[in-house]
Amino acid sequence: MNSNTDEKILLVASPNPKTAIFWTAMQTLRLFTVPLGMVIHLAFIIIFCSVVFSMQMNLKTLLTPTLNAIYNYPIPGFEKYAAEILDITCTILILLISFFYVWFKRRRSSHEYCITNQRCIIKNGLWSYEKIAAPINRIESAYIQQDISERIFGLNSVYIIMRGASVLNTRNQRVEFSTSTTSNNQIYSKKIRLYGLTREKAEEILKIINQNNCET
Amino acid sequence: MIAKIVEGKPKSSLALYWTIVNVAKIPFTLFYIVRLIFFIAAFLLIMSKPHSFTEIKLLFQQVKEHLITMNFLNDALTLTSQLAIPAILLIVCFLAIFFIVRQKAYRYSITNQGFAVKDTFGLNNKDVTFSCIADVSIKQNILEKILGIMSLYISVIEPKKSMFLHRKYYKNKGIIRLQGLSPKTAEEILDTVSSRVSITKVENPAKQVLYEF
Repeated sequence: MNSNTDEKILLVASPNPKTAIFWTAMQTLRLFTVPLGMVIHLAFIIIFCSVVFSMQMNLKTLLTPTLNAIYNYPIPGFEKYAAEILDITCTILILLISFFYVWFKRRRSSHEYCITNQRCIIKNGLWSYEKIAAPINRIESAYIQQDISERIFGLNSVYIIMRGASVLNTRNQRVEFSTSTTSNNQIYSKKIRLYGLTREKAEEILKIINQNNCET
Repeated sequence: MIAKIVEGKPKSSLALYWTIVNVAKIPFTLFYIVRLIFFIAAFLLIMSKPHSFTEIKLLFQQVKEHLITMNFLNDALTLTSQLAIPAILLIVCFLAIFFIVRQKAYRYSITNQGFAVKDTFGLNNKDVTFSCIADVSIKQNILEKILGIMSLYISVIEPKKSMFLHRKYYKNKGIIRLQGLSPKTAEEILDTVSSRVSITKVENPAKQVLYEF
């Protein structure tokens, strides 16, 4: 802790145990959405290429042999081994979900938020390590946000917007181009996110930050 | 009155870290070069306006024949296989020597008014007063963890009028990075700087008088 004797710890918090389940669910969902996104991207590329080529040659003659090949020659042995393929897929999926859960459970325990009357200190990192010390007098604003997925699990996030133009993108720090509340110019504002808090804890953190920010 | 609080050098393993990171970038650089060549070839192919696949095939055939008759590919492959390992070793040695010298010249200092980093033989010096600092963080990636070093990041507050007026602060996207610190030193500097920042009021960076090392 700080060598400054005036500094007092007001609150120490860590993400709720439900956060591990929340992160696991989100990561599992990503397993399906990322390939879907890739398929959509690929489809766009194919459509674009088709349009470009069809300007110079007949699209029908280009696509007919490919489509015929797909319909007439299915993947060999697929029907025979369909049950086995399904079993293997399910096993891999269960193993992946278990791995995610264990990983996120450990990751959750590595998160720690400490709010003092002068600073917000955020520690996290399972394999890597990160510690952010945000002085309260440099905080522009703070707010609580809960999206639909967080609402299902009863979790909240506290966002702290810092004054400044730091473009360091890490897990807890996100940067976005927005209009600052203190100036008329567009600047980069940095958001620090405190994950997986209960409503009471989030309200408490917000209250402490606002109170101490007004005092400084 | 400027008084020095902390002054120091990074750990010697920082040179090894820089070398590993930059050697790891070589395959990516080669990949980008190959990709660029591929895009140029594709662009030239589109510009030649082929009317059918047979025409494209014919074009490739012509290029292939041309390369074989020139015996270009065989020569290039032989030369590459002979020179690849010495060239890579030479690059690695050059990078290692460069980074050892750079690490020796790397310095940081904290005074009662601000923070300064001296890097790359004085060409990339960065200094900032506490009133211009937004927040401080330390970070350690897996490679840094193996080598037992840490990095300290200092975010600088944006100037009021335009970020492009103050290039000094935005040379590295508004972040001052101090590398190669031992975990204990990094924690100490984080505490010292952030406690100083928390009792300093924000001022317009344009008005600040920067200090010398």
